[in-house]
Amino acid sequence: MYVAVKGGEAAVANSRKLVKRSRRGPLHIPKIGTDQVDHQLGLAVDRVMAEGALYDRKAAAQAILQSQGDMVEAIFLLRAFRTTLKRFGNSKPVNTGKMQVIRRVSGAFKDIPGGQILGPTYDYTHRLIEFEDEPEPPSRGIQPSREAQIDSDSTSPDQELAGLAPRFQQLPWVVDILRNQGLMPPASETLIGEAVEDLTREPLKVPASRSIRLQNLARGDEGFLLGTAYSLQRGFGLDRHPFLGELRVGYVELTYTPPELGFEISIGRVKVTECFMINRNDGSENRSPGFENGYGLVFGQNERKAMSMSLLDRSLQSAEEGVEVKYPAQDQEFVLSHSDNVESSGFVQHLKLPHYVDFQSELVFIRNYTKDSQKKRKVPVESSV
Amino acid sequence: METRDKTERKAWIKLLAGADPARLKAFRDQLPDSVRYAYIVRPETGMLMVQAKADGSQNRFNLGEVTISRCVLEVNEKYLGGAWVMGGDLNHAELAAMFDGLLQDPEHHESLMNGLIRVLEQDYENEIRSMENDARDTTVEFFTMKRGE
Repeated sequence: MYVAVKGGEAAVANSRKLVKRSRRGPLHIPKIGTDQVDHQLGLAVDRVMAEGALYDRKAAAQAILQSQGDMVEAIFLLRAFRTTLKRFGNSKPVNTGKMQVIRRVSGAFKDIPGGQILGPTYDYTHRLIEFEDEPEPPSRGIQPSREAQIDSDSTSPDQELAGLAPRFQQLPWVVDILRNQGLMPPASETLIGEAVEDLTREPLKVPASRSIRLQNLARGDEGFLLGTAYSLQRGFGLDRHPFLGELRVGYVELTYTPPELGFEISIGRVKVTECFMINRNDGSENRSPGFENGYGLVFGQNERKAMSMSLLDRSLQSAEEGVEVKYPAQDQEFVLSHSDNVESSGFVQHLKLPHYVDFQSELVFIRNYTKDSQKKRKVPVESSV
Repeated sequence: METRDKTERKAWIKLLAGADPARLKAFRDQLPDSVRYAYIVRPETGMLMVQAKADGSQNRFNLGEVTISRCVLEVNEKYLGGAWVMGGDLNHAELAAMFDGLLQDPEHHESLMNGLIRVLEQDYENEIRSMENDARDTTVEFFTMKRGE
């Protein structure tokens, strides 16, 4: 029970002022802007957009600044912002098969069609803090040295541009190798009706459909997903080593058919991370031995989250596949009901609200209980005298 | 509204949506004063739900929303120009809608195609090429194996 509390208005107002002051810090230190956050803390922006479930770099950058870099608070701000916006419609499903790939690796096959593309990653850095100022790296774009290099090739850059058939937009999925060999069930091609269930419109019910599960995981807390996926790997629900079929990061085209136009148009590019995680399946009555995959897709570049999501996508299919649900990471209610950090943060932190009356009743209960038990203890002693 | 080739219009709509608003503004400032437009749908910001395909299959799910801004204008009292652009920049939506309308106007079509659109194409191609180069530079070369098997 919460109690309406009066008083404290001045303290609240001053606390708000204080938060503004502490956010700004000493005035002689230059203020940072959303552009700097967007470009220099880009992965933070990516995370806030994914868990805020709204792809908006500028709003996410502003939320990070406003929350002093408290990511869950920034995510909350972005979620609140999204409730103020009208939904115009649905995009056409994004085609990750035509992603403009900036990074793509496989842990299952060395030689994959199109190659292993390391892209921008911290995986091969030394993880040593570089305290001294780094020299500015050359800006992104076509470098003079590269122009020379291209010129020396048989095709001139102009020819290359005229055709504009980028090599990294047509990369086949690694899992297709297994699908084509019949070692993995083909991707389902059946359209399941027009409407897609939407977690933002209907409350979560378990057992949930795969669409709902994927939506839930895509906006779920990175830390929760990571910890739960880790529990699987440590033996709480997975008895075999999973393999990274493919992880790709890049830009997918966003297309939409505005009713005013009546035809489909491209409205921009969205950065996403996609993951296929492969598990061995020794077969059962209904299916022959082979492999199956878990799928992960998140806004922005967030590999540990996409990988965790794909592990959980697999484990949450346990019940449907007749596998006994024994561990938290296989339990839909456990995972799906606790993955949202806006909800969990709200519930944990509501304990800061006044519970004065509740606690009074607890005190009364304990006092009475102690009194009673003291009385009871005294009685036998007296009777024995 | 004169119906131009839809493919051509789709191509410029894509470039206008992906354009740096500063570029659009610079070209707007060069336009003659005679260009006029009226709002059909005032610039407004809303969202689209981004749908995705589970496993790359036809099974769709909702990935999350994206902020977009839209605007529909009647340009030079004749041409309907529309814009749907990512983000909350209403000015971008308005400029893109205006250029979409003007590009349908035979009086402006040719010069805009040779000016603005060519520049936007170049911007787009440079960006793609830069990403392609970065990907190529960080592709692992295995020395002993043939790729693609």
